[in-house]
Amino acid sequence: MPASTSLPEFEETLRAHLPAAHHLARWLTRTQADAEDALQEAVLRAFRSFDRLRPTSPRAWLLRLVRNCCYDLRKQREREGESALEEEALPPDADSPVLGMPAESPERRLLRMADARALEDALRDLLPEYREVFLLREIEGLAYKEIAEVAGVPIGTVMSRLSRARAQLRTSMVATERETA
Amino acid sequence: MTCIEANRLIGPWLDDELDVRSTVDVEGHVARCPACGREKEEILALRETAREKLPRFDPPPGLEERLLRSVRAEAVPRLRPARRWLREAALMAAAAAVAIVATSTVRPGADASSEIVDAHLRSLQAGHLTDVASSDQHTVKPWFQGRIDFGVPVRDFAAQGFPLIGGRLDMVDGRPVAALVYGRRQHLINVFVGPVADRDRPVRADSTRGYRVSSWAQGGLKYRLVTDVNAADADLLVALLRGP
Repeated sequence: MPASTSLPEFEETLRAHLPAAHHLARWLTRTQADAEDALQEAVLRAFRSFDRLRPTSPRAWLLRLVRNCCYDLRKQREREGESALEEEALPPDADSPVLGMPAESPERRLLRMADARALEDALRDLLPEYREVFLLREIEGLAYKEIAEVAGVPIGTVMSRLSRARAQLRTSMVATERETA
Repeated sequence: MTCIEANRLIGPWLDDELDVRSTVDVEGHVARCPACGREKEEILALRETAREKLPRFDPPPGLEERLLRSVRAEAVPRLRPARRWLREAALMAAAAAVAIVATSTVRPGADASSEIVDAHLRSLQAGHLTDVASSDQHTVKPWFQGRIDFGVPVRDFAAQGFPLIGGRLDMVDGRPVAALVYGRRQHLINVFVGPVADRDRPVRADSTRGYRVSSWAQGGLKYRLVTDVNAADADLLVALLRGP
C-alpha cells in the first residue's frame, strides 16, 4: 500500500503525462472506451508500484504501463473475436489548427485534409509495434533510449522499427496520393 | 561514406541520435548525394505532416478527474477491521450453508436461491451495502481489481432508471463474488457476479421468500440478480445487464 504522502506526487506525475498517455492509448486501441479502460488499468498499476519503483523517467515508465495495458486489451479483444475491421472511425479533428484556418482556399484545404487522412490511414495500417515507435518519436519527441524503455526492446530494435515505419508510411501515402490524383 | 551506410544513419541523424563524428559524415554525404538528400527531405516532410496534421487526441473532459478519483479510492485502506470481521463471519456462515446443503435433500436450485436471498438480506444490514459507494462505473470497476481474481463488468444504468449505487465483496457458495448494487426508486437490487461458467446459460427466474432471483451465465461469469422490485423491473435490469 503506497503511503498517503506519495499521493500528491503521483497525482502530479499523472497530470503531467496524461495527454501523452491518452494519445498513445487512443492510437493503440480501437475505441475511445478501450483507450480509457487501458488507461484506468495502467494508472492503478502505476500507483501500486509508484512508491516501490520511484521511476527516474516517470513519463517513459507511465507510457510503458499504458502501452502494455493496451496490448493486453487488444489480445483480449482478439480472443473475443472482434475483427480489425471493427476499428472505430476517428472523430473529426475539429480543433486542428490546420483544418480550422479560415483563410485557406477550398482546394488547398481539401488537399491538406486528404494528406492528414492519408497519414492516418497509413498509420492504422502499420503493426502497432511500428506505429508506437513512430508516434513516440515524432509526436511525443522521445529519445531512442526512452522509446526502448517504453516498448521494452533494445535501442537497435527501436532504430530498425522506426526506419521501417517511416519507409512504410511514405510508400502507402505516396500510393494513396497517386490513387486520388 | 557510401549511400548504404548513409541511408542507415539519416534517420538517427535527423532524430539527433548520432555522435559528432557520424553527424559530420552524414551531413557531408547528404550535401553531395541527391538521392540521400531526397531521403532526408522525405523523412522531414513526413515528420512535418505528422506534427501538423495528425489528430491530437486530447483527454476528454473529466477523464483526469475520474482517474484521480480511482487512485484516491485505491489509497484508502482496503479493508477496515470491522469489515474484515464481518467478512469472516460471512465466510463462516457460507461454509455452514454449504455443509447443510451437503447433508440435506432439499432441491439444489431452491437452496441456491435461498442462499442468494440471504446474501441480499445481509447486504441490507446497516453499513454493509457497499464497500465502494459510487455511481461512477470508472470508480467501481477498478476498485474490484486486485481484490477479486476476475474482471467484473460494471455499468451504470441511471439513464434507464437503475442508478449504480456501488459495489462490495461478498461470499456466495463459499467463494468471493462481486456484488453490484443498483437502485430502483426506493428499492435495492443486488447483482452477484462470480466465476466460473463454462458456457452461457439463459435467464432462469424464480421467487424465494418474496424475492425474485434471476440467474444466468454470460461471458464466463455467473450472474444472480436479487430484488424485491416487481418482475417487470427486474427483467428490465437483467436485459440491460445482458446487453443487446
